[in-house]
Amino acid sequence: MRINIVNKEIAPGPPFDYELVDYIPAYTPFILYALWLKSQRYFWATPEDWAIARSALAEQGAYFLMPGTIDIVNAVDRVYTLLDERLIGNERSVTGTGTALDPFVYDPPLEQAAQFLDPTEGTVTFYLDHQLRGLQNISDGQTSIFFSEDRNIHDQLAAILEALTTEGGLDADMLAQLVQIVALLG
Amino acid sequence: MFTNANTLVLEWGFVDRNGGRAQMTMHLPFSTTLATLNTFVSTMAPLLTTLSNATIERLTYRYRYADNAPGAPAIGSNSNLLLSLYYRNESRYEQINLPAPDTSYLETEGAYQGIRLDTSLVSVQSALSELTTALEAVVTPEAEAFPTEFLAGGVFK
Repeated sequence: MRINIVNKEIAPGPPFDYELVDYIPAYTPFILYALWLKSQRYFWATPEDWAIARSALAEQGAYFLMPGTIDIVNAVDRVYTLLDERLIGNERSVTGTGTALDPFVYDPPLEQAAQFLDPTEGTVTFYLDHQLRGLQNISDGQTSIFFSEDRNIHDQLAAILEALTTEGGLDADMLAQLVQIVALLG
Repeated sequence: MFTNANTLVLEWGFVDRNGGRAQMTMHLPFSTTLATLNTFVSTMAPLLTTLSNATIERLTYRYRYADNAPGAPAIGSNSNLLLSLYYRNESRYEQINLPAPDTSYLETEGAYQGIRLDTSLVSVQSALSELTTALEAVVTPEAEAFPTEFLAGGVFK
Protein backbone atom coordinates (compact mmCIF):
# COMPACT_ATOMS: atom_id res chain seq x y z
CA MET A 1 0.00 0.00 0.00
CA ARG A 2 1.31 3.44 -0.87
CA ILE A 3 1.49 5.79 2.08
CA ASN A 4 1.64 9.53 1.55
CA ILE A 5 2.93 11.55 4.46
CA VAL A 6 1.99 14.84 2.82
CA ASN A 7 -1.14 15.99 1.11
CA LYS A 8 -0.69 16.08 -2.64
CA GLU A 9 -1.44 19.59 -3.77
CA ILE A 10 -3.39 20.87 -6.73
CA ALA A 11 -1.33 23.65 -8.27
CA PRO A 12 -2.94 27.06 -8.53
CA GLY A 13 -2.81 27.87 -12.22
CA PRO A 14 -2.35 31.03 -14.23
CA PRO A 15 -3.26 33.76 -14.78
CA PHE A 16 -1.56 34.96 -11.61
CA ASP A 17 -1.92 38.24 -9.78
CA TYR A 18 1.23 39.96 -8.56
CA GLU A 19 1.85 42.09 -5.50
CA LEU A 20 4.76 44.20 -4.38
CA VAL A 21 5.86 43.00 -0.95
CA ASP A 22 8.75 43.44 1.47
CA TYR A 23 11.06 40.62 2.39
CA ILE A 24 14.49 40.16 3.93
CA PRO A 25 17.18 39.70 1.25
CA ALA A 26 19.53 38.06 3.76
CA TYR A 27 17.06 35.17 3.98
CA THR A 28 16.93 34.65 0.22
CA PRO A 29 19.05 31.44 0.31
CA PHE A 30 16.58 29.82 2.70
CA ILE A 31 13.55 31.04 0.81
CA LEU A 32 14.99 29.66 -2.44
CA TYR A 33 15.66 26.35 -0.74
CA ALA A 34 12.08 26.12 0.48
CA LEU A 35 10.74 26.95 -2.95
CA TRP A 36 12.95 24.34 -4.58
CA LEU A 37 11.92 21.67 -2.08
CA LYS A 38 8.27 22.35 -2.77
CA SER A 39 8.89 22.10 -6.50
CA GLN A 40 9.60 18.39 -6.26
CA ARG A 41 7.22 16.00 -7.98
CA TYR A 42 6.35 14.31 -4.69
CA PHE A 43 4.26 17.19 -3.39
CA TRP A 44 1.90 17.51 -6.35
CA ALA A 45 -1.25 15.64 -7.19
CA THR A 46 -0.63 15.07 -10.90
CA PRO A 47 2.18 15.54 -13.43
CA GLU A 48 0.24 18.54 -14.75
CA ASP A 49 0.07 20.09 -11.29
CA TRP A 50 3.79 19.48 -10.88
CA ALA A 51 4.59 21.21 -14.18
CA ILE A 52 2.47 24.24 -13.27
CA ALA A 53 3.86 24.45 -9.74
CA ARG A 54 7.47 23.92 -10.80
CA SER A 55 7.23 26.79 -13.24
CA ALA A 56 5.46 29.09 -10.77
CA LEU A 57 7.90 28.31 -7.96
CA ALA A 58 10.89 28.88 -10.25
CA GLU A 59 9.30 32.15 -11.34
CA GLN A 60 8.86 33.11 -7.71
CA GLY A 61 12.46 32.16 -6.93
CA ALA A 62 13.72 34.35 -9.75
CA TYR A 63 11.65 37.25 -8.44
CA PHE A 64 13.38 37.03 -5.09
CA LEU A 65 16.66 37.64 -6.90
CA MET A 66 15.55 40.15 -9.48
CA PRO A 67 14.24 42.99 -7.51
CA GLY A 68 10.79 42.75 -8.88
CA THR A 69 10.91 46.47 -8.93
CA ILE A 70 13.34 46.47 -11.83
CA ASP A 71 10.58 47.56 -14.21
CA ILE A 72 9.68 50.37 -11.84
CA VAL A 73 13.33 51.38 -11.50
CA ASN A 74 13.68 51.41 -15.28
CA ALA A 75 10.55 53.53 -15.55
CA VAL A 76 11.86 55.97 -12.94
CA ASP A 77 15.17 56.16 -14.79
CA ARG A 78 13.30 56.98 -17.99
CA VAL A 79 11.36 59.75 -16.24
CA TYR A 80 14.58 61.07 -14.71
CA THR A 81 16.36 61.22 -18.04
CA LEU A 82 13.31 62.80 -19.67
CA LEU A 83 13.10 65.53 -17.03
CA ASP A 84 16.85 66.03 -16.94
CA GLU A 85 16.93 66.57 -20.67
CA ARG A 86 13.78 68.67 -20.93
CA LEU A 87 14.45 70.79 -17.85
CA ILE A 88 18.22 71.12 -17.90
CA GLY A 89 19.32 69.83 -21.28
CA ASN A 90 21.50 66.92 -20.09
CA GLU A 91 21.28 64.50 -22.99
CA ARG A 92 22.05 60.79 -22.47
CA SER A 93 22.34 57.77 -24.67
CA VAL A 94 21.23 54.35 -23.47
CA THR A 95 22.30 50.87 -24.47
CA GLY A 96 21.03 47.45 -23.40
CA THR A 97 17.71 45.68 -23.47
CA GLY A 98 16.88 45.81 -19.78
CA THR A 99 17.52 42.13 -19.10
CA ALA A 100 19.74 40.71 -16.36
CA LEU A 101 22.63 40.12 -18.74
CA ASP A 102 22.04 43.20 -20.82
CA PRO A 103 20.80 45.93 -18.47
CA PHE A 104 20.08 49.48 -19.53
CA VAL A 105 23.26 51.55 -19.24
CA TYR A 106 23.06 55.32 -19.46
CA ASP A 107 25.89 57.47 -20.75
CA PRO A 108 26.71 59.65 -18.95
CA PRO A 109 25.51 57.74 -15.86
CA LEU A 110 22.58 58.93 -13.78
CA GLU A 111 24.11 60.87 -10.94
CA GLN A 112 23.08 60.18 -7.35
CA ALA A 113 22.90 63.90 -6.62
CA ALA A 114 21.41 66.04 -9.33
CA GLN A 115 23.57 68.93 -10.49
CA PHE A 116 21.90 72.19 -11.34
CA LEU A 117 23.91 73.31 -14.30
CA ASP A 118 23.30 76.37 -16.46
CA PRO A 119 20.28 75.36 -18.52
CA THR A 120 20.73 74.69 -22.18
CA GLU A 121 18.81 76.84 -24.64
CA GLY A 122 15.60 75.15 -25.65
CA THR A 123 14.90 73.62 -22.25
CA VAL A 124 12.08 74.52 -19.90
CA THR A 125 14.52 75.79 -17.29
CA PHE A 126 16.24 77.97 -19.86
CA TYR A 127 13.01 79.77 -20.72
CA LEU A 128 11.98 80.06 -17.07
CA ASP A 129 15.38 81.52 -16.29
CA HIS A 130 15.07 83.87 -19.23
CA GLN A 131 11.66 85.09 -18.06
CA LEU A 132 12.81 85.52 -14.47
CA ARG A 133 15.78 87.60 -15.55
CA GLY A 134 13.47 89.65 -17.74
CA LEU A 135 11.14 90.38 -14.84
CA GLN A 136 14.08 91.25 -12.60
CA ASN A 137 15.39 93.59 -15.28
CA ILE A 138 12.03 95.30 -15.69
CA SER A 139 11.38 95.68 -11.99
CA ASP A 140 14.86 96.24 -10.59
CA GLY A 141 17.08 96.90 -13.56
CA GLN A 142 19.18 93.83 -12.90
CA THR A 143 21.38 93.06 -15.88
CA SER A 144 22.22 89.62 -17.22
CA ILE A 145 23.49 87.93 -20.34
CA PHE A 146 20.00 88.44 -21.78
CA PHE A 147 19.24 91.97 -20.62
CA SER A 148 21.87 94.72 -20.55
CA GLU A 149 19.64 97.74 -19.81
CA ASP A 150 20.27 98.68 -16.17
CA ARG A 151 17.27 101.02 -15.78
CA ASN A 152 14.04 99.53 -14.50
CA ILE A 153 10.72 100.18 -16.19
CA HIS A 154 9.96 103.13 -13.90
CA ASP A 155 13.26 104.81 -14.74
CA GLN A 156 12.83 104.13 -18.41
CA LEU A 157 9.34 105.61 -18.51
CA ALA A 158 10.50 108.53 -16.45
CA ALA A 159 13.26 109.13 -18.98
CA ILE A 160 10.73 108.95 -21.81
CA LEU A 161 8.46 111.35 -19.99
CA GLU A 162 11.28 113.75 -19.40
CA ALA A 163 12.32 113.62 -23.00
CA LEU A 164 8.82 114.17 -24.26
CA THR A 165 8.23 117.01 -21.84
CA THR A 166 11.46 118.68 -22.84
CA GLU A 167 10.74 118.39 -26.52
CA GLY A 168 7.11 119.46 -26.00
CA GLY A 169 5.86 116.99 -28.55
CA LEU A 170 3.10 115.50 -26.40
CA ASP A 171 -0.46 116.74 -25.94
CA ALA A 172 -1.72 117.53 -22.45
CA ASP A 173 -4.00 114.48 -22.03
CA MET A 174 -1.35 111.94 -23.02
CA LEU A 175 1.18 113.72 -20.82
CA ALA A 176 -1.19 113.49 -17.86
CA GLN A 177 -1.69 109.76 -18.44
CA LEU A 178 2.04 109.14 -18.60
CA VAL A 179 2.53 111.03 -15.34
CA GLN A 180 -0.09 108.79 -13.74
CA ILE A 181 1.60 105.60 -15.01
CA VAL A 182 4.99 106.65 -13.72
CA ALA A 183 3.43 107.51 -10.39
CA LEU A 184 1.74 104.11 -10.17
CA LEU A 185 5.03 102.31 -10.87
CA GLY A 186 6.43 103.93 -7.73
CA MET B 1 38.59 11.67 -17.41
CA PHE B 2 35.25 9.86 -17.41
CA THR B 3 35.25 6.14 -18.05
CA ASN B 4 32.23 3.93 -18.32
CA ALA B 5 31.27 1.19 -15.90
CA ASN B 6 31.66 -2.48 -16.95
CA THR B 7 27.95 -2.93 -17.38
CA LEU B 8 24.78 -1.03 -17.87
CA VAL B 9 22.15 -1.57 -15.22
CA LEU B 10 18.60 -2.52 -16.08
CA GLU B 11 16.10 -2.12 -13.24
CA TRP B 12 12.65 -3.69 -13.44
CA GLY B 13 10.10 -1.98 -11.20
CA PHE B 14 7.25 -4.23 -10.04
CA VAL B 15 4.06 -3.27 -8.23
CA ASP B 16 1.76 -5.72 -6.41
CA ARG B 17 -1.99 -5.68 -5.87
CA ASN B 18 -1.67 -3.62 -2.71
CA GLY B 19 0.56 -1.00 -4.26
CA GLY B 20 3.71 -2.49 -2.81
CA ARG B 21 6.80 -2.02 -4.93
CA ALA B 22 9.87 -4.14 -5.55
CA GLN B 23 12.78 -4.03 -7.93
CA MET B 24 14.79 -6.56 -9.89
CA THR B 25 18.19 -5.66 -11.32
CA MET B 26 20.01 -7.08 -14.36
CA HIS B 27 23.37 -6.19 -15.85
CA LEU B 28 24.08 -6.12 -19.57
CA PRO B 29 27.24 -5.30 -21.51
CA PHE B 30 27.85 -1.58 -21.50
CA SER B 31 28.06 -1.59 -25.27
CA THR B 32 24.42 -2.68 -25.57
CA THR B 33 22.59 -0.12 -27.68
CA LEU B 34 19.28 1.37 -26.71
CA ALA B 35 17.55 -0.39 -29.61
CA THR B 36 18.95 -3.75 -28.58
CA LEU B 37 17.98 -3.05 -25.00
CA ASN B 38 14.40 -2.27 -25.98
CA THR B 39 14.20 -5.52 -27.94
CA PHE B 40 15.59 -7.42 -24.99
CA VAL B 41 13.06 -5.85 -22.64
CA SER B 42 10.19 -6.75 -24.97
CA THR B 43 11.34 -10.34 -24.97
CA MET B 44 12.06 -10.56 -21.27
CA ALA B 45 9.00 -8.76 -19.86
CA PRO B 46 6.39 -11.45 -20.69
CA LEU B 47 8.72 -14.17 -19.38
CA LEU B 48 9.01 -12.38 -16.06
CA THR B 49 5.31 -11.71 -15.70
CA THR B 50 4.58 -15.36 -16.45
CA LEU B 51 6.41 -16.22 -13.28
CA SER B 52 5.36 -13.17 -11.26
CA ASN B 53 1.90 -12.04 -10.19
CA ALA B 54 3.10 -8.48 -9.90
CA THR B 55 2.94 -5.98 -12.74
CA ILE B 56 5.93 -4.28 -14.33
CA GLU B 57 5.28 -0.56 -14.06
CA ARG B 58 8.71 0.96 -14.62
CA LEU B 59 12.04 0.31 -16.33
CA THR B 60 15.27 2.14 -15.65
CA TYR B 61 18.40 1.95 -17.77
CA ARG B 62 21.58 3.21 -16.17
CA TYR B 63 24.61 3.94 -18.30
CA ARG B 64 27.11 4.93 -15.66
CA TYR B 65 30.29 6.89 -16.14
CA ALA B 66 32.74 7.96 -13.49
CA ASP B 67 35.95 9.86 -13.18
CA ASN B 68 38.26 7.45 -11.41
CA ALA B 69 40.87 10.09 -10.72
CA PRO B 70 39.03 13.36 -10.21
CA GLY B 71 41.01 16.48 -9.47
CA ALA B 72 41.00 17.90 -5.97
CA PRO B 73 37.96 20.09 -5.30
CA ALA B 74 38.78 23.74 -4.74
CA ILE B 75 39.44 24.86 -1.20
CA GLY B 76 36.24 26.10 0.34
CA SER B 77 34.00 24.19 -2.04
CA ASN B 78 30.78 23.29 -0.28
CA SER B 79 28.28 20.91 -1.81
CA ASN B 80 25.63 22.02 0.68
CA LEU B 81 25.55 25.35 -1.08
CA LEU B 82 23.81 25.41 -4.45
CA LEU B 83 23.53 28.03 -7.13
CA SER B 84 20.10 28.28 -8.69
CA LEU B 85 19.99 29.64 -12.20
CA TYR B 86 16.54 30.73 -13.31
CA TYR B 87 15.40 30.72 -16.91
CA ARG B 88 12.19 31.43 -18.74
CA ASN B 89 10.65 31.29 -22.16
CA GLU B 90 7.32 32.53 -23.41
CA SER B 91 5.39 29.88 -21.51
CA ARG B 92 7.27 28.74 -18.44
CA TYR B 93 10.09 29.12 -15.91
CA GLU B 94 12.66 26.52 -14.92
CA GLN B 95 15.75 26.37 -12.77
CA ILE B 96 18.94 24.37 -12.60
CA ASN B 97 20.90 23.99 -9.39
CA LEU B 98 24.68 23.85 -9.48
CA PRO B 99 26.38 22.42 -6.35
CA ALA B 100 29.29 24.17 -4.65
CA PRO B 101 29.32 27.40 -6.67
CA ASP B 102 32.40 29.60 -6.79
CA THR B 103 31.35 32.28 -4.32
CA SER B 104 33.75 34.82 -5.82
CA TYR B 105 31.14 35.23 -8.56
CA LEU B 106 28.53 36.46 -6.12
CA GLU B 107 27.81 40.10 -5.48
CA THR B 108 30.15 41.65 -2.92
CA GLU B 109 28.08 44.58 -1.74
CA GLY B 110 24.49 45.58 -1.20
CA ALA B 111 21.52 43.66 0.14
CA TYR B 112 22.34 40.60 -2.00
CA GLN B 113 25.98 40.42 -0.96
CA GLY B 114 27.11 36.80 -1.02
CA ILE B 115 23.72 35.70 -2.39
CA ARG B 116 23.15 36.82 -5.94
CA LEU B 117 25.24 35.97 -8.97
CA ASP B 118 27.06 39.10 -10.08
CA THR B 119 26.04 39.34 -13.71
CA SER B 120 28.08 42.51 -14.13
CA LEU B 121 31.24 40.38 -14.15
CA VAL B 122 32.45 39.68 -17.65
CA SER B 123 33.53 36.17 -16.65
CA VAL B 124 30.00 35.43 -15.39
CA GLN B 125 28.41 36.87 -18.51
CA SER B 126 30.65 34.73 -20.69
CA ALA B 127 29.96 31.55 -18.72
CA LEU B 128 26.21 32.17 -18.71
CA SER B 129 26.19 32.87 -22.42
CA GLU B 130 27.89 29.56 -23.22
CA LEU B 131 25.76 27.70 -20.69
CA THR B 132 22.59 29.13 -22.14
CA THR B 133 23.57 27.97 -25.60
CA ALA B 134 24.34 24.49 -24.29
CA LEU B 135 20.97 24.34 -22.54
CA GLU B 136 19.23 24.39 -25.89
CA ALA B 137 19.78 20.63 -25.95
CA VAL B 138 17.99 20.17 -22.63
CA VAL B 139 14.29 19.50 -22.15
CA THR B 140 11.91 19.77 -19.21
CA PRO B 141 10.46 16.68 -17.50
CA GLU B 142 7.53 17.16 -19.87
CA ALA B 143 9.96 16.86 -22.81
CA GLU B 144 9.44 20.48 -23.78
CA ALA B 145 12.29 22.80 -24.70
CA PHE B 146 14.09 24.06 -21.64
CA PRO B 147 13.77 27.84 -21.30
CA THR B 148 16.95 29.69 -22.27
CA GLU B 149 16.31 33.30 -21.30
CA PHE B 150 18.44 33.77 -18.22
CA LEU B 151 16.79 35.75 -15.45
CA ALA B 152 18.90 35.60 -12.32
CA GLY B 153 21.09 33.38 -10.22
CA GLY B 154 21.45 33.04 -6.49
CA VAL B 155 22.61 30.59 -3.90
CA PHE B 156 20.44 28.51 -1.61
CA LYS B 157 21.26 26.27 1.30
